[in-house]
Amino acid sequence: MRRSGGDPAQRAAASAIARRRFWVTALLVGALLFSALVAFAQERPRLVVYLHTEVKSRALEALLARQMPGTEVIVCGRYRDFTRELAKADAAMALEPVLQANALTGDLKGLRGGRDTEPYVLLSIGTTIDAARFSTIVLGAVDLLGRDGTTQFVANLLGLEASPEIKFVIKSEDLLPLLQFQSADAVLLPEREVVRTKSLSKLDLQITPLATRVRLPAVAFGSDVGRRVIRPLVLALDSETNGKLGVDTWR
Amino acid sequence: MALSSRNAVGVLLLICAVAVLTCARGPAARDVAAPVGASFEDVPTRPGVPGVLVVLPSSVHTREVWHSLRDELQATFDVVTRPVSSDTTAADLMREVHAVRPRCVVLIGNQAMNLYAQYQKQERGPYPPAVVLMASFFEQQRSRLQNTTGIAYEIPGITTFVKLRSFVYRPVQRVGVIHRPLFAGYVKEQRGLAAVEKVELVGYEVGDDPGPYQIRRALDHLSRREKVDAIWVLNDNVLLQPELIAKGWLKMLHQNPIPVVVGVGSLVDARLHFGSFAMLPDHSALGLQAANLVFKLSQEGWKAGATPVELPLSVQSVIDLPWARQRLQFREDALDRIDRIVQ
Repeated sequence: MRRSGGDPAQRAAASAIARRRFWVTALLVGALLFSALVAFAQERPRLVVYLHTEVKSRALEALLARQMPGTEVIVCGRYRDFTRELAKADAAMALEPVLQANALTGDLKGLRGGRDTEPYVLLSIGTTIDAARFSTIVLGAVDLLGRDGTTQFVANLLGLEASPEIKFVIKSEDLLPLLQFQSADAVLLPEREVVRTKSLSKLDLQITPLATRVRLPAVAFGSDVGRRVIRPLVLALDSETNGKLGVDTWR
Repeated sequence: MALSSRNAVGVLLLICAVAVLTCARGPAARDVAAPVGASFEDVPTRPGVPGVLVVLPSSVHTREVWHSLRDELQATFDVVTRPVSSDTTAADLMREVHAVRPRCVVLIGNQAMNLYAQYQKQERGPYPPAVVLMASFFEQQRSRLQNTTGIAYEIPGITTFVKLRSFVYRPVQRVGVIHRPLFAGYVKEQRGLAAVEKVELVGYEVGDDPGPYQIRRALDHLSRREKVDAIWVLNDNVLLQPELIAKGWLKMLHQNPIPVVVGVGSLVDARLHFGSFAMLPDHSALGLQAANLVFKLSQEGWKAGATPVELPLSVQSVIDLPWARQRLQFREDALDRIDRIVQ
C-alpha cells in the first residue's frame, strides 16, 4: 500500500529529512546514554583492600563486593600492587601502619576486643626465642610494606635498631614452610593467627610474645564519594566478614 | 529498515558503553601482569648500578615471576631482561653476558639453564653467579653448573600434604607415591621432609617404562595393602602419558576414590576426575623468593655454588569441587583458601 499525494522528488526529500532526524535523535540518545553510563561508572567508588588474611584475595573480593553493592572492590595481595592501585582509589583498607606509610590517615578504625591494636608474636620450633637473640636470628615475615618498610617495621616490633636477617614471603600461609624447611629460626605473625597455624602443623611450635602492638586495619578515604558511599557500607559489614578482616567492628 | 537501524544503533551504543565501563573500572584495569606477547620492558640502566641479567622464555608464568622479581630488585640493581627462544644459542648467551657484565644471572626455565650450562662448557670461567628458577628437578641437575644455586620448581610433598590436611576431614597420615627408579632418591628426600609433619610417604617403584597394568597394580597395592590416605602424583611425564592415565590411573582411582594430588593444573578436571587437588607453584611468590636469594648472595659475597638450593615456599591450590564434595569429605570452610575451583 502506497501513501497518496506528492511527487517522487518531494517524497525523497521528506524521506531524507526523516532519515536525518532519526540519526540526529539516535546520536543524541546515544550521547545521553553514554554520559549517564560514564557518570554511573564515575559514581561507583573504588575500595582498594590490602590485608593478609587466611582468605584468598579472590574470595575476599567476592565477599566484600556482595556486602558493598555499588562499590568496586579490589583486593591486592602484594604491597606494590596496593601502592599502584592507591592512585585510583576512593578508599583504602589496610593495616594502619600501611596507610601511614602511604601518607594516609585511617578515618575508620577497626576494633577487636575493644582495642584498635593487636599483639604480634614469634613462632619457632621447640623453644621460644630469647630477646637477647633477636638481632641474630633469621626471621620469616610477610612483605607488608616493601623490602625497606618491612625491615623497619620488624626492627620496631622487636625493639631493635637494625632488623635481623629477614626472609620475606608474600602470604602469611607461606610462613609455616619457612619453619618446616628450617629456612628461618622463627616467623613473625599476629597472635590471632597462631591457633590456625598450629592447627595446620604437627611441629612443636612455641610462641614468643612481643611487647609492641600493631594497629589493626583501618579505612582511609580519598574522595567525598568514597566517604559518602563506602563509609556506611564498611560500618554495616556483617560479623563474619569483619572476622575475616581481623576485626570485630569499625569506629 | 528503520527499525533494524535503530536496533543496530542501540546495540552498538550498549557495546560502546559496556566497553567504556569495562576499560575504566573492570578487572583488566588492575591486571598487573602484562599480556602474553608483550615485551619485557626494562628500566634504562643507571651508571654505577650493578646489573642482574634475567634470561627467560616468554610465557604467562615466566612473566609473573619476572614482574615480581623486577619489582623487588630494581631499586638496587639494573634488571636487564633477555628473552630466549628455540633459536637462541649458547653463543648468544655468551655475548649477552659479555655485553651486560652482570653481577648475577637469573635463569628462568630449562632452556635458559641448559644454555648457561653450554656457555660454561664453551668458555673458561670465572662465571657470574647464577640463580636458576622453574627448571625441572634442578637439584638433581645442579652439578652440571658452576657457581649456581636456585629454587626447586617441584612443590615439596610436605607442603602438599599439610595443605591437603586442611582441605579434607579424613586423616592424611600415610600418602602413597608411584615412582620410577630414576626418582627413588627424590622420593627418599621427600619422605624425610614429610616426616617432619608426621606424614609417612609410602613409595611404590615401577619399571622405567611401565604399562597400565603396572600402574593399576601399584595403586591397588597402595590403597588396599598399604591403606594410604591419599595419592601424590609426581610430575613425571612417563607416568602421565594419556594411555597410562586412561587405562591405568583412572581405572583404579574411580573404583576406590581417595584424594589424589597432582602437580599439573590441567589434570584437575571435573569430567576426568583424576587429580582431586593440584598444588602448583605460585609464580609471583617465586619471583619474590628469587629476589630474596639474589639479595642474600649479594650480602654473602656472591658465592652461589656454596648456597643451598631452596625449596619453593608458596603454592596455589586447585580443586575438583564436585568430586571432592561427593567423595572426599571436603571441608566447605576450606573453599575460601583455595585459589582455583574447577566444577
